[in-house]
Amino acid sequence: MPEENTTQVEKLYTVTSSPHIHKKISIPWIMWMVFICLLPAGAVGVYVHGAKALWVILISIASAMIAEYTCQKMRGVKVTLSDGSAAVTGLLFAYCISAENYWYVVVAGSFFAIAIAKHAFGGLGMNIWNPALAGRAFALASFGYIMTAVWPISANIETMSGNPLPTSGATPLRCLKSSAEKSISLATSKEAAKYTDILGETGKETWAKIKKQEATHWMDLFAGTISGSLGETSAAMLLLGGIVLVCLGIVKWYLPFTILATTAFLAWMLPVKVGWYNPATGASGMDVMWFSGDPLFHILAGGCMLGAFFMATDMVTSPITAKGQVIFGIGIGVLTVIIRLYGGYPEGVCYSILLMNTAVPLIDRYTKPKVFGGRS
Amino acid sequence: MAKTFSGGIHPPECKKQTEDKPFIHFPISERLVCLMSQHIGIPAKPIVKKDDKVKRGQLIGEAPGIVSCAIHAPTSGTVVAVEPVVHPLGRKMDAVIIQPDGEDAWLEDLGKSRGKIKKLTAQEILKIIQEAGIAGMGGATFPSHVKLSPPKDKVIDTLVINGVECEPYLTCDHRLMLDFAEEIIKGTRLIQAILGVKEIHIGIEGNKPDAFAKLQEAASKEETKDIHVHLLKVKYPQGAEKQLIKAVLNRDVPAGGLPMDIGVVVHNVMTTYYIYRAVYFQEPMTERYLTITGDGVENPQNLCVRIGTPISKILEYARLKPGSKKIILGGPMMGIAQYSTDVPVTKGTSGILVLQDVADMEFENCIRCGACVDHCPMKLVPSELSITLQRGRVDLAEQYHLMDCMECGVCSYVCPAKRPIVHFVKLGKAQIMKQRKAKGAK
Repeated sequence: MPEENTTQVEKLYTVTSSPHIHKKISIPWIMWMVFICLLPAGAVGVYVHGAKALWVILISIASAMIAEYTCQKMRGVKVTLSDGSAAVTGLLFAYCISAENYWYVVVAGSFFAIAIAKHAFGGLGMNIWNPALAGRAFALASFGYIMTAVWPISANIETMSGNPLPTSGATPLRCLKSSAEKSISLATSKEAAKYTDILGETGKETWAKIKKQEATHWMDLFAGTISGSLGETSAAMLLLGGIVLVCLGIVKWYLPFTILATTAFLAWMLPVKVGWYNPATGASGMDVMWFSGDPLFHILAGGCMLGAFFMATDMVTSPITAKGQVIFGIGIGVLTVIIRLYGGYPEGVCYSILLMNTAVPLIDRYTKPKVFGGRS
Repeated sequence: MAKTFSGGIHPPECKKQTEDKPFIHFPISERLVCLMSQHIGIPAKPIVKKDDKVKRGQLIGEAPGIVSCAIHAPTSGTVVAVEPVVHPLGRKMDAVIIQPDGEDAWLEDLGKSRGKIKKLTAQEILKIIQEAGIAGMGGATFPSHVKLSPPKDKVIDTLVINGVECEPYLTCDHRLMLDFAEEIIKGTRLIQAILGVKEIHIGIEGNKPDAFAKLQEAASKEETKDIHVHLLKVKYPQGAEKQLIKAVLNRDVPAGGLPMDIGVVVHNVMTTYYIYRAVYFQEPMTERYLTITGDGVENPQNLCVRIGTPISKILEYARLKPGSKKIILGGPMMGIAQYSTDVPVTKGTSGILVLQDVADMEFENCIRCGACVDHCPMKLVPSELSITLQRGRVDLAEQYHLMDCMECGVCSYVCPAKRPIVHFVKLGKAQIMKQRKAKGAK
């Protein structure tokens, strides 16, 4: 009977729109996986740079999480410290600065990354720039000296190649760039004859000398026994973490691949200016060297590995389609090499990723997939 | 490489619990609720009143237009009420409620072998199908006779029979193909007679090799070798018309268009089977096969159920576990969740799925991971749709091809932020339809 039936409804069942099953994947899982995959590179950083590196990492993560908590409280939204995104930002920021640093630089940069680069734009998913890199750019603009000139000297570490670490503490990228510049000024100076250890009889020879002296420690670059930013030194560990992320499906292989391939190709192809001096004739000059760069050096040195696998691949600030990601990756590679070879800084990964982040909405607009059965 | 389409997902199949269970004829309940709207289109108009006596197969709801379906009494008995009841879609809709007399007597000659099938003309077969009230039984419930009468300017050359059953959990199409392979082939011949197609393709997913073998055997017995049976890669939503056509024929149905635009008509295996029954045995739609399953029932089964059976009866039979949270009509990807167990079985009820756990309703901002874009079978950008619709920008969503979405649920399934993308899409579409209606009224 109808009356009976309506009174029999004791319990109402849950109603939602379909689908009623979901894949077992979540934002916290993604973020913590990225965090774990970053750890081996940090461990090498701490081994090479000592306990101070560990402090930088801890201060950076703590500042990022405090900033996240404060901002979310102020905005009146759910506090999501456990989703790991602030921890990843803090860790990434620590990785791309020098381990020899003032605590307040670390705090300021990490805080900027979360508060300004992320929450001012609306929190996770809404930011335009990679927060950690925005933090680094902020620190670089605000604390120029400590960010570019002071690198830890870790003489107590044995390098893989057996060559001593540069006592100046300068990074391999800086050494390469400054040596090339120096060769020009030396060749044109009156005392060129004194510097035959640096200058060759032709541009080609000088370039070979420079590369041999400064840039061929591939094994060191790979293992991480060099001076450089805290977590960027060990290409091997970053590659390991990156490959795990690719296998987990968190990172698509084609993005890091296009970045590394473009960087390697252009670093090899694009011309470098070097000076030369011929002691027999006393002649000197400057040569433009095409197709002679060291591609492997460029992808192993500096922030290239970290940038390609962990910074550019930040889901929020990279294009959403495969086509878009390839364009994005090529753009990063081009800008990185141009900044490295001709720009005002020895390293260009940070700025090239930030610049390409800015172009993401544009890339997305022009790389939209064609609707199934659509004409254009 | 097995044939398939691009995009899509492979969720856990969960078919093991029922795929080996033969059909059981479910007893006729003491009360059958025949909704007047069991199909897409205009609801039928009740033509019986309280206290009328009806026989099985007797017309009780008349189709008021072409895009509509007739409704028939599922058994013999007395009409106890004609009143609005809860429809599986949530609203109350008209229904004829019948109290069976236990005799289950057919009206006149209905249910008896027709004979002289060969002499029927295409028009006559079409008329039989229309009068039998057959609607697409894969779940979409589009009136079959409409699909079988394409406009004169559309030349139909190919018929595709959908035996994919890509929704997880459901196994009734699978069992049907095992039990009635020859009948399904006979049904395809009837459709072929109406449409005059040269080729017939049957698509079955790789997880049903036994059904594939049965149908291939049945097809090979035919004199003309124009029936091709395909074993497809297991992937959801391969049972969607456009994706099935892509997988089997590698043809693209134009966006916003219908399969008939490229000369194809698709019918589900169960629809084909009931077309056979209507023509050979003069049976209107009075029953259907379905699967009752899920972790919320102790006795999952494949059943043959009279239309109008309240699902509470079936749940009782399958021993609903206490504490079950969700009851879904259809599969887990596209099925409709019910708040009450009073709703009856309709022509489109392919399954009753009971789940013990309910997913968390909270969702996060889109993190632009791109999983939905990679998997969308319609090649849309679901993340963009969900963000614009969340902000109420229906106009923008329409530009982003909102109306091309078929709500298959792939995007929501893969979303790590658990965004209810399909929910946003459904709301957005409803809003657009409302706006269009308002514009049309002016």
